[in-house]
Amino acid sequence: MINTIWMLLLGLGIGAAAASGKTAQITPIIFDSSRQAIEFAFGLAGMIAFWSGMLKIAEVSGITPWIARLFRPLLSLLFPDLKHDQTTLGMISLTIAANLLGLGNVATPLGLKTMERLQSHNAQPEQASNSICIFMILIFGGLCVIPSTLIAIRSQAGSTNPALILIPLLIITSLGTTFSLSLNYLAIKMKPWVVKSKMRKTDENS
Amino acid sequence: MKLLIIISHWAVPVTIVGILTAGAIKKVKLYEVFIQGAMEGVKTTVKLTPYLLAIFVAIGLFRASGALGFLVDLLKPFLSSLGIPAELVPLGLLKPLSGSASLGFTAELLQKHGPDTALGIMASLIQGSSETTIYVFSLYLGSVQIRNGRHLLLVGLLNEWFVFLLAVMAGIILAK
Repeated sequence: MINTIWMLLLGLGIGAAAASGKTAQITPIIFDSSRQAIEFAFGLAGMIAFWSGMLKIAEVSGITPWIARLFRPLLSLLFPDLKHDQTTLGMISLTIAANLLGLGNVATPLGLKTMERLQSHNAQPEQASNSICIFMILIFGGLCVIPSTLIAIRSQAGSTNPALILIPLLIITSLGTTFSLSLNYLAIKMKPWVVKSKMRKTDENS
Repeated sequence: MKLLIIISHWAVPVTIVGILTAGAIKKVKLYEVFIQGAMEGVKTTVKLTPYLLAIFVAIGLFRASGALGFLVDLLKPFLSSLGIPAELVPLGLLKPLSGSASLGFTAELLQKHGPDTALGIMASLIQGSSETTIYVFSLYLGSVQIRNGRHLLLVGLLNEWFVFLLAVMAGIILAK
């Protein structure tokens, strides 16, 4: 699916540029956005390296499992496959906590480190495991108690009540996350059925 | 609210001091272990770079070429017939792709239409209601070289549209 989306973005981009006679601008656009990508990667590199270093200390001193204890009931429900890996559960908790506090710059390095741990449990490293799906859905959901950037741009625009959106946002993101988790559950449950019907089709064809 | 902001300001220093203290108690060689971890972090970033490049160039081309505007014009009549304000359509399309672009767009909308109008509240809620799905998907899965995301991206995008609709409804209710 990412292949299709990527192709569509590029194809529609080049198509639109051609249709409006802006083909000469394609090269500068590509130049600019690749430079932005590298600059962004460099900017991110510092934070990723720093938090990887910090997490290594946490891991070696054995405190990560302790963090998982705070969220244990919820985590064991969402990640049944990781019951025996308290360190990974601890890293998941840290990532979610950073997201809840609106610390985006910290959450990304933590999340990437957590992905490495989750991937080490993945029996088929080419594809996303069930635990990875759940973890990603929690990230997609964007649950946040303190959306500081959003509140900042609201007060900058002269809002009389910048924090008005807090409770509605919590409700919307909770509903969204529940919706995604249910879809994910359905997709995983339906998988054997889809595979079976595909197999039946190939049988009929042969 | 004040308390929450104080917590978010203290979270990082407290976490760092907590990790260092735990390491010192367990007699971990703090500096060496930190360097070892940071080295792994640098490797992660190197692995990430091609994925970032792919997504940045695609989004850059899509926006700067006018394709985004074209798609917005195409969707507007259909979405306004559903009662969705036309001003929000570009935001809905940008949101899954680029966090900084959609934040800039939201800020502009808030300046122009006022943050406490129905439109302003809707835009704020859309901006805050989900992560940048496509970007996060390629970043996170790319960092561990997963090629098959299964149903994940579809679920993420359906979530984006679901919360978009919820945000529009909530905006109507809250602005009254």
